[in-house]
Amino acid sequence: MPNKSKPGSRLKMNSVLLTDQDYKQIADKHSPKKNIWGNCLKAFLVGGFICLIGQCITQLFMTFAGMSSKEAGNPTVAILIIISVILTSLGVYDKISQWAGAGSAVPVTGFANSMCSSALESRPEGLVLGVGANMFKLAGSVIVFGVVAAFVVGVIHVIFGLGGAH
Amino acid sequence: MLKGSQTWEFPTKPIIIGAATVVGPDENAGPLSGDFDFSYDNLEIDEKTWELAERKLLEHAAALALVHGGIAKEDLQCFIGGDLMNQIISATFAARRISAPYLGVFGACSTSMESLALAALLVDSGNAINVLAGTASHNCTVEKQFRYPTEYGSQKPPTAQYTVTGSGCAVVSSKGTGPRITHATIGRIQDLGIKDPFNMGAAMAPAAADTIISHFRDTGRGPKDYDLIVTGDLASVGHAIVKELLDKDGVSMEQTEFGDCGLMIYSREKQPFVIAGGSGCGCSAVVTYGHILKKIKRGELNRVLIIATGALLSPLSYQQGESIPCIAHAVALESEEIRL
Repeated sequence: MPNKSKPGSRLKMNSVLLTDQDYKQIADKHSPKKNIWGNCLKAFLVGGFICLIGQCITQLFMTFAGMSSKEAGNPTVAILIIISVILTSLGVYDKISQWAGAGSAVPVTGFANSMCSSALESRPEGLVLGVGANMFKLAGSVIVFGVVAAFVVGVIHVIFGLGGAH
Repeated sequence: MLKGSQTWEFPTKPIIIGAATVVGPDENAGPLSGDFDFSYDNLEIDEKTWELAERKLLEHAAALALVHGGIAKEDLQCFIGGDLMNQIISATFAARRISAPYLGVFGACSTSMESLALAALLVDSGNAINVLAGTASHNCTVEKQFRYPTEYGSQKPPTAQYTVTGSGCAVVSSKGTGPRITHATIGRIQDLGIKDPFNMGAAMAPAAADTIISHFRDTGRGPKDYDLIVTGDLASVGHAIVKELLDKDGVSMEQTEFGDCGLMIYSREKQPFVIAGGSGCGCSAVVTYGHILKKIKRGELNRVLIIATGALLSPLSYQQGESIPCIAHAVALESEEIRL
């Protein structure tokens, strides 16, 4: 029978014996908590600001290039990606993210940052085994679970036969 | 000579005849800036990759330590080194240039005192006359290996620590002048179930407490026998915990100055990006070999106990949900003439 308590999971001092449960309480008491509401507010502000920039770019394409709002979508995303890659390469994006949290991670700029930072980091290991193999190290899971989520939504759509554009 | 259950006493009191520290820009901007022998003004350390940068720090510190000790690398009977990289490549590759007999050690951030204790053991036992002990870490090599790409925008929690970019080396010798190594207490692995790699201070604190208590029990000494007791890189969270653990056990650290290298190296107010404080192999190495040894030499400190703490996790182990086994090794240093 495997021993349930982990080896070495007790601290025996001169007069005190601490179990890992006792210790968890002490550790939690001294570990400052993440400020969830503050982080939510910052994420809302920064995420919203990035979307506002996107909307402005879309508006510019519609006003000056005569595009429809649908046509303006792709070039808008491309510009946001370029801005994100430039900020990542200049070493600024990660500093924004420490403040903004999910606000800079969730929009398309965060996706671009994950690819660009992985590519930069693995460049010394070569183009094939380095950049090529590692570029999707973080972004890969977004794609995998994005496709899985899309599939699930697709199945729901078929079963319930909801209307709307395909 | 074994004392108690896990402490080595060195009757010959091996001497640190020379030591050197080389750091990066953030460390030089901190409160100990005047204590380092050399600092680079760029995080790249004038190299093309982070790994080359870390190796260069170690090679540079090793060369300076030999100069300060007044010996040539041919006079070394051993180089004991380690770092945080997979297969300890920084120490091993630096050993090519040092070309002395080499022992590679891994104790994560406790490597500084692990290598110093082993160096003292070799010298004390007469198996070597001069031994070089050294370690290095670089903020970006560690981020790359253990966490995310350096430029990836992830938000670090308030318990996270900032890896020190720097290297510290010491030449331990049987003759010469300098601070002396009197004892080393070899730690036991402690793992009280902390799994969060962004809270290593909490993970390592029990190991530090265990080694401190063992050291006092084995040597019959107490906190008041030391002018300064420092832990390696527990930072704000771990240091507060270890204080509470020792207090619960009736060890009053009020009788001495009890600090932490991870809190000493940066100013958390002026350098908020370090969050809870410093960490990494280089942290206790540069604070000990830069700041503390200089204070001992100036006669400001007589007896110091350094407890370097290490979190022995790997990127695989925490992704697989394992808790973090930790260790702490203590080394006691004394000034040449004890003035108590």
